[in-house]
Amino acid sequence: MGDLLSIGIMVAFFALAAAFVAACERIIGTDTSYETPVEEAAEPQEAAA
Amino acid sequence: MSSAAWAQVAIVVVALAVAAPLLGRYLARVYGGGAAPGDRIFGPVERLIYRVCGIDPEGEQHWKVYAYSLLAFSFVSLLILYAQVRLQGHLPLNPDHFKGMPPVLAFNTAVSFLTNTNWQNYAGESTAAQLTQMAGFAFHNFVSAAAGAAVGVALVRGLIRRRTGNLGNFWVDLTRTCTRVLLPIAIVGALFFVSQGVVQNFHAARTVTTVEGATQTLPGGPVASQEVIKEAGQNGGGPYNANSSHPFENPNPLSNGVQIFLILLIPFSFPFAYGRMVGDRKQGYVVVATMFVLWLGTSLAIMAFETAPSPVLAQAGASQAATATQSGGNMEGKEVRFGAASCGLFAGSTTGTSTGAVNCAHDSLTPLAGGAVLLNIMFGEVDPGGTGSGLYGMLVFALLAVFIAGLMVGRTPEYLGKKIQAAEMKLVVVYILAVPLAILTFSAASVLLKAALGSIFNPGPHGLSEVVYAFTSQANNNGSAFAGLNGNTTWYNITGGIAMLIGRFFLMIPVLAIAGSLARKQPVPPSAGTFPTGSKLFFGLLLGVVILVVGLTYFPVLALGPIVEHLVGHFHL
Repeated sequence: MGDLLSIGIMVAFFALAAAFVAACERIIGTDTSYETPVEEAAEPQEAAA
Repeated sequence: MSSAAWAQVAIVVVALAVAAPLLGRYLARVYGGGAAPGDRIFGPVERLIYRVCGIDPEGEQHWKVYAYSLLAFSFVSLLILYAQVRLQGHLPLNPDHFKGMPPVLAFNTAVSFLTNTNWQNYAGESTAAQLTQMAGFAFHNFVSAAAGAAVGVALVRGLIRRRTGNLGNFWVDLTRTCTRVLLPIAIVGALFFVSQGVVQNFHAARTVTTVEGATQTLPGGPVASQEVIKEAGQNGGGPYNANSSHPFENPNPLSNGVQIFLILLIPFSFPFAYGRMVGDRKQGYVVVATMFVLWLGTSLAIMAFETAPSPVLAQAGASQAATATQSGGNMEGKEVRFGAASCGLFAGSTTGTSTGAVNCAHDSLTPLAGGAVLLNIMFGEVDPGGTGSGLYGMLVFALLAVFIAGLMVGRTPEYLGKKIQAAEMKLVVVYILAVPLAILTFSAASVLLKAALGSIFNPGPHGLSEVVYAFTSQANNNGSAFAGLNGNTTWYNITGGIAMLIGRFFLMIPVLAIAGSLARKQPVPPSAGTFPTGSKLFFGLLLGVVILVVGLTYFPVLALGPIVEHLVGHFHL
């Protein structure tokens, strides 16, 4: 019985922690705009000789 | 304080001033990517580990994957340790024939070592088999510290990376911390402790006859190898119940000084590594200066309170003068070979970090010194904290400080060019509230419920301090005990275990989320409105924020506990 209680608490806590990860993801939002490359300013090219 | 007391502080400070920047430089290369010192030695070992465990060392992880990896590793290793502690009576290397721990004690103990807390509701020499100590507790002493380092490094990467969702690889950070940082220190340190007389054997306890004709039981065990990682990884759980007060763990003033140095070394090195990794060493100096002022201030205060005569002992007629046989001051609960000042320095260091090892009885500290160690833990292990956890704890306060500074000048706060916005501040608030909520809720329940009241041996304000200390220590993953409280009950084992889990993972997850949020941002160039976070002004602000936040959160309970106890003793109320 004691083992069941202990293991039950462990399982419940880590399930809660996994849900907490999802909650934190919701707080920061699922922004994926970083996957789009930023348009860098074009390097000034030397005029052809 | 005596000149000897000041000399102890000076030696520790000088040793740290030399070693911490060097180790910080090394850490920056270990975590920075690319070639690092010792690749020839450590590389093959790490590649073997990666191959056996199926890890792709080049694979980068999104913050969520990093967090899930941390949770998966922790959950599986927790179950294994729980099983080992329960079944130790059937496992080898158990010369004293200890039975398995009862379920709730095994739960508390397994959680305690998983979370780097090392709170011990048992006496090691009469409960834990040698295999449990070596392959269970000592293993977690390494990996729990390494997990803290991994989260700290992930936060730094979040600050320095731009427009990415990735924070590195948890498994690689965990492995490299063990192989390149903790193991080398542990090997050298263990040999040093053996040279000083710390025991290292596989003997069962031996009953001997002393010169006075009495019988005494002398415990054995692989102590030196556990002792070093106990301090260097800010774990704190000793093989013996008396911890570093025991002569087999900490035999002399030299071993004592080295233990204090080891407790502080890695946490003070991380900010130097941080400064190098972000490419602005001043950022690291601000963090380390804040940690240093808090650690030095609390340590000196504890030393001063303990070396001054205690009014209660004076009333009882006890001699508190410095003589050839005692260092003077409040010697209750102290080892005569260390004295009151050394106890104060050790106590300030062990509670400022997440260590929790003790070389004197914290329950015997004067009320104000007891209040100071309690406050030190309440700072949230940021002065200088644990391996990696001290750095991320202080960086969370730094984010709060720039937010407050931004509010004062009416600008969007920035830290290292990253805009700190509502999402990060929500996570900072979650981080700051999680631990006080656990401490104060469980403490309040413990002084109300009949099932818990029976554990309190001392009534009045000291009893309250003991209860609050127990939950503060566990929730902040410190592990030192005030004693005077029977923690080995169903109530305290379970609530303490839950407090430790909250104090570990409900802080690490928001930190990783903050890192993930910051990593995907594009830094903005500094402008006239940017608060200079590498300045003396920011150091003052950061220091003030830490003190104010912690002070406002905990002052009522400190007033009802240590402060009332001091007034009662001082004015003979």
